[in-house]
Amino acid sequence: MEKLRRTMLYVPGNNPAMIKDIYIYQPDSIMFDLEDSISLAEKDSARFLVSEALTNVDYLGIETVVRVNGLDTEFGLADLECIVKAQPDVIRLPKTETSEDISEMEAIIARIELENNIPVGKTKMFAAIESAKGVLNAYSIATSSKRLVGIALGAEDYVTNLRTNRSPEGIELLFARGQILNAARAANISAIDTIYSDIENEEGFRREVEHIKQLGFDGKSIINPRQIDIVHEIYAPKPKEIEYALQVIAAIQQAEKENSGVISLNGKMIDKPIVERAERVLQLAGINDMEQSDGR
Amino acid sequence: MKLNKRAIAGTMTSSDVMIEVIPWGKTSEINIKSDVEKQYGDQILDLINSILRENDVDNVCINVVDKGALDFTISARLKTALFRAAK
Repeated sequence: MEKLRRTMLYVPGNNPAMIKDIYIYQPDSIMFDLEDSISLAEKDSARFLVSEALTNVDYLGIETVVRVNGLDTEFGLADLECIVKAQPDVIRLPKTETSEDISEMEAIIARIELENNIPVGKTKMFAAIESAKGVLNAYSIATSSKRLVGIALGAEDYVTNLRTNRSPEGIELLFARGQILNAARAANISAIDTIYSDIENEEGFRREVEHIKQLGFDGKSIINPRQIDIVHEIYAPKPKEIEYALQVIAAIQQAEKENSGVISLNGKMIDKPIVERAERVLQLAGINDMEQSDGR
Repeated sequence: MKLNKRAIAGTMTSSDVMIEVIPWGKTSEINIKSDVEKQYGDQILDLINSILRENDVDNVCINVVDKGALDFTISARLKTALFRAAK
C-alpha cells in the first residue's frame, strides 16, 4: 500500500525557524524548497541549511522531500551533490517535461549514492509537472524510474504556459489534473495536486480540496501549516465508511479462514475493488498500519 | 580549505545566526555575541572550532552574532561563509 501523502508542506530552505519547528504541525510530507522560494544569492546557504537539518533534526518519521533546482540551471547539480548525502527520503524535480529529465537526474543520484556508501536506489524521486509538454508526457514520466514515488501538478507555471490564469473553479486545470492522475494511477504511484496560494480564502481552499479528492488525488502541495488540518479533515473517512470498511475486511478474513472463494457481506458480493476501497478508507482513518509494505 | 576573501552568511532574525569569516594573517580569533552566551557560549565555540578543524581552516577571524540558532543552523551558516570565502 502506498504511503499517505495528503499534505506535502513547502518550507523555504533558508528559514531556520521554520525548518526546526515544522514537524510540530504533522504534515504527511515536509518539502524543503531550494528552488523558487530561494533568491539566487542564497541558493548556497539554503543548500547547506537543509543538508544540516536533514542530518541533525529528528523529523519523527515524517517523509522528508527536497525540491532541488533543475539540472538546466547552475544550481541543480550542486544541490544534488550536497543533499543526496544528507539522505532525504525523496528528491523532487521541478518542471519535469520528459522521461529523460528523470533518467538524467537518476543517474547523478545513483552516482552520489555509490560514492557515499548509500544503497543505490534508496533515494526516491518525485516529479513536478508544470508545462503543457510535461502534461502530455505524464505517463512516460510516471513510468520512467523505479525510484519515482509520485508526480505532482505545478499549476502556476502551467497556466502561464497555457496562456490563461487560475480561476476559482479550476476549469483550466481539468485536462492536466485528469492526465496526471491517470498517469499516476497507471504507474501505481502518488498523484499530488498543486498549491492553493490564497491563504486567507479558507472557503475556496476547502472547495478545491474537495474537488481534487473527488477526482482521486492522494493529496495536495500546501504552503502554510494552517492548511494541514483542513486537508486531513476533508480526506478523513466518515464513521459509516469506516464501519463498512471494517466489516468488509472482517468478511474477507472470515472467508479466508473458511477457505471460501466467494465473499459476501449483507447479501452482497465483495470483490477486489471493494476490498481496495475499504483498505484505502482504513488507511485514511489511520487504522490500517498493517500493510505499509513497500513504503511507496 | 584556503580562504580568499571576507564572507558573511546568515541573518539577524530569530533562530538564525550571522557569521562573518575574515582571512587573517595571524592566530585565529573567534568572537561570539549571543543572548544565550552564558549557557551556550562554550558549546558554540566548540562547534565552530570543530568545523574549522574538519575543513582545515587556520588563521581566520570569525565573528558570530547569534539570535538563538540551534547547532545545525550555526554549522550550516559557518559552512556557507567558509564556502563563500574560499571562492
